Amino acid sequence: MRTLFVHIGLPKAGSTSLQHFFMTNRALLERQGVAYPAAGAYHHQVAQHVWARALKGPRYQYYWIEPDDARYHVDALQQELLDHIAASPCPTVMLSAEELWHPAIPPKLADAFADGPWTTKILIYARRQDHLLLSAYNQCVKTLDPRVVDREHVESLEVLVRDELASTRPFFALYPTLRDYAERFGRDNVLVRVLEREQLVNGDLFDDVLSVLGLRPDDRLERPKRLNASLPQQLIDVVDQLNRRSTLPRGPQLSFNYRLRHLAEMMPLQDYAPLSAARRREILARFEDDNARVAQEFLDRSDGRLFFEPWPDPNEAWAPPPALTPELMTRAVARLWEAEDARTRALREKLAQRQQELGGCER
Amino acid sequence: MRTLTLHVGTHKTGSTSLQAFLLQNKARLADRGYDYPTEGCYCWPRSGHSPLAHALAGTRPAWLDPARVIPGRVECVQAIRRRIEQVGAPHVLISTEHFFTHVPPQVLRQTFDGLGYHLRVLVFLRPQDEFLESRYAQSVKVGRCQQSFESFVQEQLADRTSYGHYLPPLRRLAAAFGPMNLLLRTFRSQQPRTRLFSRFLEAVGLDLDDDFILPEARNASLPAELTRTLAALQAQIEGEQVRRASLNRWLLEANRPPAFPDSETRLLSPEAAQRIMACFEEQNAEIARSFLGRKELFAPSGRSTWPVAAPPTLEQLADAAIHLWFGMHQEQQQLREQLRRLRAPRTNDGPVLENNGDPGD
Repeated sequence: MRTLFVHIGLPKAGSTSLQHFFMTNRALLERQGVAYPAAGAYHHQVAQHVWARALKGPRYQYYWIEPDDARYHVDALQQELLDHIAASPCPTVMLSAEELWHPAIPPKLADAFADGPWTTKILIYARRQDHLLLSAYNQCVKTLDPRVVDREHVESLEVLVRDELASTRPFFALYPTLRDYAERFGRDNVLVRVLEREQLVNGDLFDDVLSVLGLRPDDRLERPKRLNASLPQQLIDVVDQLNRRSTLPRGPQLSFNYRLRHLAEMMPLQDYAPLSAARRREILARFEDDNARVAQEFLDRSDGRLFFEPWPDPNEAWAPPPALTPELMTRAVARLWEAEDARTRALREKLAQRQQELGGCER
Repeated sequence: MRTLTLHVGTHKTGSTSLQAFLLQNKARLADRGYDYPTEGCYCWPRSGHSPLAHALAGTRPAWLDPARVIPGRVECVQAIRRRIEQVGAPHVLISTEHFFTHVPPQVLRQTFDGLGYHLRVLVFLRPQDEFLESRYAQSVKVGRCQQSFESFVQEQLADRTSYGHYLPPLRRLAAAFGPMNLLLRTFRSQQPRTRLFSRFLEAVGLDLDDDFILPEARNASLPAELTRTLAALQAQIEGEQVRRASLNRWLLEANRPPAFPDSETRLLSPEAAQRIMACFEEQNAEIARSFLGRKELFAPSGRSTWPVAAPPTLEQLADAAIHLWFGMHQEQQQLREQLRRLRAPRTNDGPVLENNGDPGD
């Protein structure tokens, strides 16, 4: 019996790193019996994001995909993916898309894969909610995409935290969605791993996922560099301010944001804690029971301890984040211009060189 | 009496507009007996006789391409003198504000002596508060100035040889050409543009009639908020003036971000403007007495209050950043497209250009 692993996130819990790992080592993993389908319209960049977004619903799809394009219709994507899975000789298949972390997905995924000649295993890496919320907010700012937390709009970190705490089904409440997956795929087929160094095999995310796949650590497998890393909070503030003022179309705006991330390498920027220890404890308290049920039911931990990291010390010194200043923004704009100027000059030189080469050839 | 009038500026008193006016009306002036010579190496039509001033001073403009050869002093002087002699017009008009700052009056006089013309010097002066604001804005615009407006003003006031001290150079001009041949006029920023042209023509003995064509406004003032923003950005950029000036390209004129509309604001508060004028009060009174036979050099402006430009806000800086980046992004796209076209027919080996690193989504 083949095994189909579906890695569903969480968003902001190492997904991009894992996907790069699968993608970079695709050929080698395939020789070890693990396929990572990537050759169809269902795939974008390093994972099966297009398919996962289509499964979630049209409003979640990439902006550059025409809604009427039949190639990207959910059924077409689904069929293409199933065909590629069927065509693979590997006993194990890995799929990965953090967009699959959504309450609406378990029944859809069950429909998609229930009849296949394989056992479907749902893999999730859990991360503590105080870290998740901060990281997810930063991702919303970086990618201009509040859909990271399944929202239309995220006004601020504080609003995101407030809404999440007040929600009857918070986006990062693990238990309800995992229960839904367990009901459809079987409790034993929902594999919960915890993104904490001391809970990962060899303290390493990649060794950990290899162990899930039944593979040993292998030096030949390339480890991606740190990807989609968090930005210093001051840079998040700069990007946020620029996003708020921008009326650029989505494509250029994303390119702009991508450039802005590199400011972290060009100027000193402070990274401060936007949430106080007290606020983080409130978040953890909100999810405490939920996390305990996950630990008990999915990890057989009678003590209900899902995360080992100690809660923040309530007496920890903390000051409210400093406001973004025009001085910092001025420095950021100057560095941005310098980087773009260098890029433009390099292109001009390349063009001049090419023109010279062609002129030389013609002579 | 044949006259040769040297319009010597000063800077920031509409010289560029005047030179455009003279160039555009060259034929009309000639019909009236006034020659405005522009055909030789001594003149760049868009900026008057500045090559002559630079040749006489042995300098070259900072913005000029270092590879460009400019005429030397002898060549330039011979060319202008030959031209004036050949045309033999009843009156000659020469104009560049660089005469005031670059050329010793005696040298200027010698350049045009012996041609059979009565030499006169026409000078426009602007109240120093307005002059300093305008001079600062221009310096920022061309990437020459990285300091704040406040420190620029302080520096200018402390330096007794700085530009706003009009009296010493006027005395030198008077000594070289004779006080009676020094024609002083005042310039104010709020005056109608036609007044500049009519004052100029009146000084050289003409009227601004309907035959004259008025040029389009050029070298227009920047909104004070944009000047402050550019100065703040340039203070962060190391390297040569030309590099800083290239940043401005993305934020000036047609590229000006909408966050910086034309405005009535000034860099100086009314109080600061008064303080500056007080520093020059005695000197201006001396100029008025000596060269105009009156008490006051500048008539009161009639404007005692105005809004003052604040330092750049986060919103303005953000708008500037977005505007700047998008302009550069579009240029880069065009360059990539040109490169792609050059490569396409010759190679057949996959993607033409490396991915530019954009994430897509």
